[in-house]
Amino acid sequence: MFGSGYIHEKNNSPKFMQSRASSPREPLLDNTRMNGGWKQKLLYRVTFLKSVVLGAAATFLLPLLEFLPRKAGFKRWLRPPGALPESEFIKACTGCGQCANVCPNKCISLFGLEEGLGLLATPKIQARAQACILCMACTQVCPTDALEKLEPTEEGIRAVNMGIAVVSEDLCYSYSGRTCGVCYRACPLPGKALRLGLYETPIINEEFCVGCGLCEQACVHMPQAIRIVPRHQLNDPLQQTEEPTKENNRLDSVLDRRSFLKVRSKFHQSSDQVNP
Amino acid sequence: MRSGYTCLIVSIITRLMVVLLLCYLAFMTEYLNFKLAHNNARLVELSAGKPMRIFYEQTEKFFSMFGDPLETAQKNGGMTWSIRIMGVPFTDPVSAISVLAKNHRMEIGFVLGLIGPLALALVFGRVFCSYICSASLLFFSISRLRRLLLKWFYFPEWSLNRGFAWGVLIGGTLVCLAFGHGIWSLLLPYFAVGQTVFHGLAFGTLSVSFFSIVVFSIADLLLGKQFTCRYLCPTGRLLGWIGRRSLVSIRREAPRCLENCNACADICPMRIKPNQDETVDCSLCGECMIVCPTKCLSIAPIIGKRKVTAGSLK
Repeated sequence: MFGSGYIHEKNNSPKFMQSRASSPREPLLDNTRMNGGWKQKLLYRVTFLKSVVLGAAATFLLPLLEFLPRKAGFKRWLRPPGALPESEFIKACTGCGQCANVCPNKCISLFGLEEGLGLLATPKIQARAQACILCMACTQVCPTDALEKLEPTEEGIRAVNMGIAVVSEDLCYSYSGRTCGVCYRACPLPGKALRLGLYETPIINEEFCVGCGLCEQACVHMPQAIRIVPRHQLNDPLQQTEEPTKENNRLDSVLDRRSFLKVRSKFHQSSDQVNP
Repeated sequence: MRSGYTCLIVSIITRLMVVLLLCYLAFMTEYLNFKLAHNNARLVELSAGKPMRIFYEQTEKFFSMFGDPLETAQKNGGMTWSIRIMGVPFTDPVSAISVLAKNHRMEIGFVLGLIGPLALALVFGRVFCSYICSASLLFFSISRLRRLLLKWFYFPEWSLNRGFAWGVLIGGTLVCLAFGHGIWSLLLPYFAVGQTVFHGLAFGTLSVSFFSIVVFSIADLLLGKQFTCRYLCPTGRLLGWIGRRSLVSIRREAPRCLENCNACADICPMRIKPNQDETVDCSLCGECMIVCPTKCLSIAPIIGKRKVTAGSLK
């Protein structure tokens, strides 16, 4: 009695309040108890498994985003200090962004799709824009230890391996006789990683250079005469036993004088356009 | 608890607080930068203006209550995906699965972070979805918009089998296993919101995750109310499964319930049927308690056996 009265009321309710349970897309089993029969159970299980496979397949199609056309990105990015080797780092990093969150220098930013799906949401540092000051705050907070914990002492700094600085002697003011030395004054390990020669010409000691990029950020020449070759583009001399492949042979092309000249001429063109 | 409006208001407030927390955490890098560069309110005002000075001073004041302001500020960080608040880590179960699939090992702090979310799911069920998830605030408002637009337009109400979300979870894990990297910031709505907020406020750029939020929102508007939460979000499915025998859930007083009423099942954003004592997947949002004509529904501890219906197993 009471119930039928409510139904009458409900039919007068606005359209959006009315029941949609009788829509034709409603699955058949939605109102059925599980204690139907074995046929119903089987039908239910088959529908469920079909949906699981469909969902998994739909998700597995997403990596096709990798093949979207995209602009050539800025290849020379660095990982934060204490990062594991690149392949292990990608595996360990969850992309939670805690390192970027605690960075007081605002040098860590997160990747989008510009370098492909593999680097999505992982941290990067662009040294020329904002270099790492090696405060090691990011290494302390990483929840998955993709960044190994380091202390901001000299030993901690020595353990960092983000890349190696390379001087382009053709661009450097000091090498052309105009004494500069700005990179030396920016270096966190002056006298070790970066020594000065005659007319304050920078000389890199690859054994000590951690690749923080402070010299690259400080360089007064435009484009920068000193730049960091990131570790993932570096042909690690400790791993020379491997056969050189396209991947690990990239430093040769970077350090190759010819390509450096090519890069330089490109930069000169662009700087000419900006500042004729 | 009997009042559905209380639940609704509390859930909106808590979700707003989570969104504000995300915004604040993204903006906190600014404070850290000022602290390291100037460490002086006057210098902050000179370099960045009066509003920044107020922000700086208030943040400094707040964090000074807990000790050294810089250290305390650095104890916070992350997104809903994996976050630390005052040094206490919280880890998303899906993030733990993805790290296991990619890296085959987990750090102890990461495992400890799982305790909070799992305990919450075991006690309150799928409560994350309507009280914490930052994306569900968006989907909640879209469902209200949809309800408004239904006066003039027709939108279909699609339903998928709930296995689809399990499929998304399995597919995402397979991507982790096969390629060694995750695509979760495109798949999970709350992670996408976190990324978008972080990119927008900390770097001033538009994150690619924004486009997945747009896709989810369109699906929500056109295909069904809270379609993403029900059928696409793997975290919600996982938490619903973990909390399927949760201690606290929606309880019906059977003698007072009307036959053939079905108001609660119609309004439920998770499309469960409280009138059939179905409690799996209930996110305690309180919408059914508002519409129930006899107020026979309440949120209460449930002890004893539960009825299992076909819908609740999906």
